[in-house]
Amino acid sequence: MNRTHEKRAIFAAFWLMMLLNVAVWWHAQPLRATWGNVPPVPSQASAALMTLGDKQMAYRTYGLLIQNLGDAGGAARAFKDYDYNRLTKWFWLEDYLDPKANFIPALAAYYFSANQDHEAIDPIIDYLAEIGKRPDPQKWRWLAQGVYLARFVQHDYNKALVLANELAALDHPGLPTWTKQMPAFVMMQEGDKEGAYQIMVNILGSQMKSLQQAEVNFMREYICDRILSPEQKETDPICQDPY
Amino acid sequence: MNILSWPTVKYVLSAAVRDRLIITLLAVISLGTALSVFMGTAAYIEKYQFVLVFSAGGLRLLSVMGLVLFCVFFIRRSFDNKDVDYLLSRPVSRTGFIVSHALAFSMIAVVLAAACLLAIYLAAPVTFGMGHVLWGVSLMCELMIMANAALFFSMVLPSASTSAMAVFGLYILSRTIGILLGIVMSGLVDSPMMKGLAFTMKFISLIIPRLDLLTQTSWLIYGTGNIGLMFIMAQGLIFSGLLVTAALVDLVRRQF
Repeated sequence: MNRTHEKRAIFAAFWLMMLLNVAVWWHAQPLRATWGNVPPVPSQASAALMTLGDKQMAYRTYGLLIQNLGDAGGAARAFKDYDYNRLTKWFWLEDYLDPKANFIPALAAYYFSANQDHEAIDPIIDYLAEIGKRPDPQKWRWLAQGVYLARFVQHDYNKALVLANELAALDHPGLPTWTKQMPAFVMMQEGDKEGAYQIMVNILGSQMKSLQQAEVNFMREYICDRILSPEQKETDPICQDPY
Repeated sequence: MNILSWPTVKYVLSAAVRDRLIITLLAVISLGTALSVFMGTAAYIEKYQFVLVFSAGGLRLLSVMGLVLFCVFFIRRSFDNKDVDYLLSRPVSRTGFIVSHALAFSMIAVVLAAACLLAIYLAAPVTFGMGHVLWGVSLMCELMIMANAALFFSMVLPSASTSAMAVFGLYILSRTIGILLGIVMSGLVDSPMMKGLAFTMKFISLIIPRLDLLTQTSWLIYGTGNIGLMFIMAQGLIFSGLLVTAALVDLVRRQF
């Protein structure tokens, strides 16, 4: 083969490869990652292997993964499509990796609790109740949140009362007085919105100084957008900036 | 006999500057921190904690990789260009050659750890505390160990890529040895073959540094834990000493 023929053959091969590449692109373009629901949970022993033994790094990496779980291939999924039992197993794995952090309890309480299927949040309430009994600072508010979800989201008065009694029985230092009155709150025949508002404002008020601004904003958003009506939101001081 | 040759130390340090190692790693540290800040602020709450952990975990890995690659390729290039033969023909003993290289690599490790600590501080200044200081010292020891491991493997193995793979293998093993020992001692191993493997693993762990206990990102959030400065420094010095003497043993037996 002389040099001119070789040159032509190389150019032809290059353009053929380019065409094949375009064909692969054409085929792959509409394909999207499919969402296989909540992924299986790794074992505690192997959970930190992915981050070379760094448990805290594993906690934060899995934390972001859990936060963005339903976003696959540019489409978001409704919470009712999630496997909440498996999701809660992830929460417990995260709890093993870092029992002190409040990121996962906050996600469970304020984010994943917004499931349209109220029965599905049972494992989340159990999780929050368990975490909330710990003596670490601020942990009690997850038990209070569990009471809130049981009473005002699930309307399960019995479960709410059991949890409220557990909260009232806690004897941790720095616990606000209103936690002792929680069983009374639950039993009040007050309108749902008023009761829910009262509990959330109590939780927010008790912890304002010790929480990061992002979490305060998160709670405000919860109160203003999910408990109050647009009209109430206009006038409520909690929903006004600056707060 | 001089066990340290300052001109050789200077030669290695100037090579690090000439190879643009310092400037490249500083750029990588800046980019890594910026990416961690971006990812960390995507979290709903505890944004500072996310930024700290992602920055620290990422910079730890990037520094080790950058330093190891520099050390390995520097030594192998010195062999290929006959720089080693030339240096040893000068009034530098074999001990002086190894110790000077180890010292120069360790000095680079100290600079790198300081740069990482500064980046962590700048990423979330309000969180700065004793945990950060311990993390910085621990990273310094970890980088010293890995630089000396790179020196040892690149002296012993004939190719740069094999040496780099061997050092990374050691690093992964050192970072996960705590988990592996936990599995070995958990009582889950019952068959004779698994018991044999468990024994082998325990034996191997004898010469593996416990890097899983060093440079923990949780120190940046919850302060210092049960690992003290003495343990960190002792681990760094003893294991570096083991690697340097092992490299020396290899060099004194070598025929040029």
